[in-house]
Amino acid sequence: MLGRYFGLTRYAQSEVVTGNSSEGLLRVMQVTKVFQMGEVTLEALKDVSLDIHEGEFLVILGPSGSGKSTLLNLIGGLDRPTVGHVLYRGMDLSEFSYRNLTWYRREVIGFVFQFYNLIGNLTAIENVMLAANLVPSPLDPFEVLEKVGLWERANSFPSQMSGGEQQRVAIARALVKNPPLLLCDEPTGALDDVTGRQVLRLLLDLCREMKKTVVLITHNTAIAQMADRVVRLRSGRIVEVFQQPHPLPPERIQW
Amino acid sequence: MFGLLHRKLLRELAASGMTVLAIVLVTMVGIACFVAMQSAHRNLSWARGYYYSRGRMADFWISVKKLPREELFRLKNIPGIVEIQPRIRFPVTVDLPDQNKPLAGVALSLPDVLRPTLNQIEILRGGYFTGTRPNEVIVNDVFAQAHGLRVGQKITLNLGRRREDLTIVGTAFSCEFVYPLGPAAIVPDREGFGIFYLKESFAQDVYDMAGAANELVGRLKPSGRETVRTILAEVERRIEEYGVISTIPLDEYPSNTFLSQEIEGLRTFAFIIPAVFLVVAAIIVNIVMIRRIEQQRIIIGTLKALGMDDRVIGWHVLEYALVVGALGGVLGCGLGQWLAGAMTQLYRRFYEFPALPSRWYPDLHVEAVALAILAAGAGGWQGMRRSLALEPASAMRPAAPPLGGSVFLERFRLLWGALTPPWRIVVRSLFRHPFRTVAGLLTGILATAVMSMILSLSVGIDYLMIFHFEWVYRSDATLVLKSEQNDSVLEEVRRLPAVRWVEPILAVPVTLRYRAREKLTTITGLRQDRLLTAPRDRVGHAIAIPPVGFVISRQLAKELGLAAGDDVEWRPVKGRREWYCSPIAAVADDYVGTAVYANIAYLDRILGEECPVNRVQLSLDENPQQRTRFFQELKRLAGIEEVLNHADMKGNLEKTLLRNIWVILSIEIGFAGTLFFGALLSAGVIAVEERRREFAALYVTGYTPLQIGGLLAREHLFILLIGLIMGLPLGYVLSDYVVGTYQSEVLRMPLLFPPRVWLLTAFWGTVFAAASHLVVETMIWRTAWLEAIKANE
Repeated sequence: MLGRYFGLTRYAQSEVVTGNSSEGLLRVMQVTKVFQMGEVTLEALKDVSLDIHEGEFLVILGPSGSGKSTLLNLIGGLDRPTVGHVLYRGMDLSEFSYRNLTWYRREVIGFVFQFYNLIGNLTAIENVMLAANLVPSPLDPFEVLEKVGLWERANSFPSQMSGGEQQRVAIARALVKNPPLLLCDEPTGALDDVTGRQVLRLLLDLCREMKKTVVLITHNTAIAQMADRVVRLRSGRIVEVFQQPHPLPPERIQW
Repeated sequence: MFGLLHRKLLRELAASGMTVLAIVLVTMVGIACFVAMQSAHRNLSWARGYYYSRGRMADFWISVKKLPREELFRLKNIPGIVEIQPRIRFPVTVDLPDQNKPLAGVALSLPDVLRPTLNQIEILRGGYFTGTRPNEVIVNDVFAQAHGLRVGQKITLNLGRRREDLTIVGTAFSCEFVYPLGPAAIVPDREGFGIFYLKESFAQDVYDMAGAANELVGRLKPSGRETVRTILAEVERRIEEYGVISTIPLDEYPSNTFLSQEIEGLRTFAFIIPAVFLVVAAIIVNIVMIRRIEQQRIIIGTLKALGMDDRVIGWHVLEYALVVGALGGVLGCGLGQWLAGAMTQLYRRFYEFPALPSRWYPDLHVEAVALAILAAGAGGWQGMRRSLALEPASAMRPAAPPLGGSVFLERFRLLWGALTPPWRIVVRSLFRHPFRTVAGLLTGILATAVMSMILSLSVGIDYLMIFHFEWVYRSDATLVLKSEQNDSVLEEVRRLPAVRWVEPILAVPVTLRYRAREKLTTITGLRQDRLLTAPRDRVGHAIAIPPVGFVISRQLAKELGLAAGDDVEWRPVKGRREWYCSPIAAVADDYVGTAVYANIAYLDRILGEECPVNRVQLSLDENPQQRTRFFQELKRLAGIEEVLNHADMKGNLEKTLLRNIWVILSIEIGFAGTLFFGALLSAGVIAVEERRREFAALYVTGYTPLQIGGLLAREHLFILLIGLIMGLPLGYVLSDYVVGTYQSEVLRMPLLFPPRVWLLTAFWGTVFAAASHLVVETMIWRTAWLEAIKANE
């Protein structure tokens, strides 16, 4: 009890929600999202449909205000669509209870944010462990930190790390829960191009080696060159979806 | 997960400086007051209960002129009375070699052989009377210690008409003299007033009381305690021809009244003060927590996005408040326990229990910490709710910019136009954070109320002292004569050294009757041109002694349902016991005891008295040597039963009470000040954090840190001012409530709320507000504003 209180023992709870895997990993069906802001109604997404396949590296591309963050939030279970459905392995997120939605965010999704959103007064390893303790069978936090190349910085606080390092901690934090789906919201948006490319390499490696599905949103068209598939959004609508049979490695991308 | 969040929490607590300090400070003081006053309350209550029951404290005291003991059978079978014991009680004076004037005291008779009595004494040193000598005495222990009197030593007492050398056989404590008051005193004087227990047989002999008694003490059944006044009236009726001078139930017995009023007062204070502090602490917690949620909205959103349970997040948020509250509570318990010790120590000087231990009450400390946590939890509740309500998606977006737009006041163009831009910033910020402004006002009001209450009470005590000892009773000494004498005694007294002015008093013990209500009291007959006793009205104007009728204390008038203009019936308890009727000419205000004043000539006329003097009051030369000579000469004067030395009593009052009051008052002002300090400190610190961008922009524009601080100072000054104006009435209400617990026949606290209280409240409020602003100003100086303009919060 005390050990749990002071973090000496791990604690996690899990409710298993099982679904039908033959349906594909995630399916967005005719989704519309309307924001009511005072007297103004903003239609952020209009009748969007999209399938996300297991193991692919998908880039959602669009200028700011095109609705890509809204789409990511719907996929990530942070928000619910006004109209339409988001299905994870055949299960409708809009029918999920609050508890089930929390389970979904905990065990299915790994989020990586533009501004890292690390907890400032926890060290790198503590940030990773915080996420690890949420799930019943996480990866080893130290190994994950090693994988993102930050073994030596384990005991540094975010304020003592560079932006690239912080973003790698954030990726480690997403990864340690061992979720099937990594959602990255402009992960290189706050980074210079060298560190940005390192972060993209890391994400690509996770996708290829650990068979994670990666969905990355960006306004940077150059990044789209590394994707297996690209979805273009404009003004809340999908204007183009295309496959790239020979994506460029991140090192060769110029921006 | 729990553990890591705890690490986050602990690091946040370690890093958060001033706001946590403000909460901890206010909580700590509130809890300290709670623990200290409750502990002192329990210590005193325990001692009262323990010693009263161990000594079998009497339920009533009846003073008679002389009652033959065989007449006691008349009091048998009065329902409600368990037992009645006769004894002899007389005032005495004692000559001690180390004193150049006689000291006052009281002599009480005890059975020759030790057997259980009411108000049983406890022998602390030596032993009880032996069978060998008649002239043995047991002295109260405190007096003996104050003068280094030892068992076996002899002392000289002036008993009635005889001077006797008595051998001290023991020293003792009695529950009826826990607060041993000398005649006409309101604080005990352990050096100047002694209690001397004499053998029953010896007392009967020296006081010419063979087979008689002049005091009865009795005990009632528990059921009889509620009807004590009816029972006493019945007792009085059955023995009235022996001259019943007074009947005093326990709740009017001065020693008990002073003790019980203090115990009640402690209970009132132990409720009001902590309540105010904890409410203020909760308000500060509330503001700090809401602010903290704003600061941490992205972190909270991220935790939610990671899949953390709402319960865990909510608990984590609330826990911060609880930990801070608990910290304040635990520190408060420590401080409170120490204060309880100090208070109990102080009480030991006033109340003479053989032992008055300051105990540690574990349940009280648990309760105190629980209260602190509860207050903090209540304060943190709204913040927690907000953290739960945050949607992860919107939480991670930066907060919407604060509402802009014009505020209500801007519609008054003329007024608005007159405001300089800094003032406009101040007014807009006050109106745009209405909740916070209201919270600030509330804390200001509460702080003002507590501060003004404390000041009002201290002004009240001052006023009481001045009113009683300088305005009403102005003599330096009063001589109580053994019997009525004629005017020639005045001449005799006037010839003594150091006497400047002499006035006669005729004290007539009477029963007052109005409609069905009766009351034993004493009429004080004064000469029309008297200078040394001056009854006064509420505002302190002297009331003339009317040629016909009485001037009566407001307390007595209230008890009997009398008003000026009514006719009251009265009958002397001695001599010709006939009913007379006199008008009430005026009602006088007084705070200590009660009195009925009449013109001495008027009393003479009605009673047909030949010898119109039984007391002499006088004023003395300031020269202490002359005064000493006066008291030495006085010993030779026959016919004096008792000397009331008002001058020494005032000196003692200054020494014991007023000096302590200054210490207590400073502590209280310091405590009340923490309310101002804590509330404004947290508001200031939050404002500096929250408005970094705004202030940074002003800084870049060319504002100095002093000018930026000035903006906040204006805001706080504004809130302080309104809080002061609105808090004073609440302070008045609180004072009224507290003063209400100090209202008895023996002592009544006046309720005063003069402009001096307002000004002092404003002064101290400003001092503590300025102190908190100094801290805020230092923060502003230390902030790197140029960094602030670039940095994201």
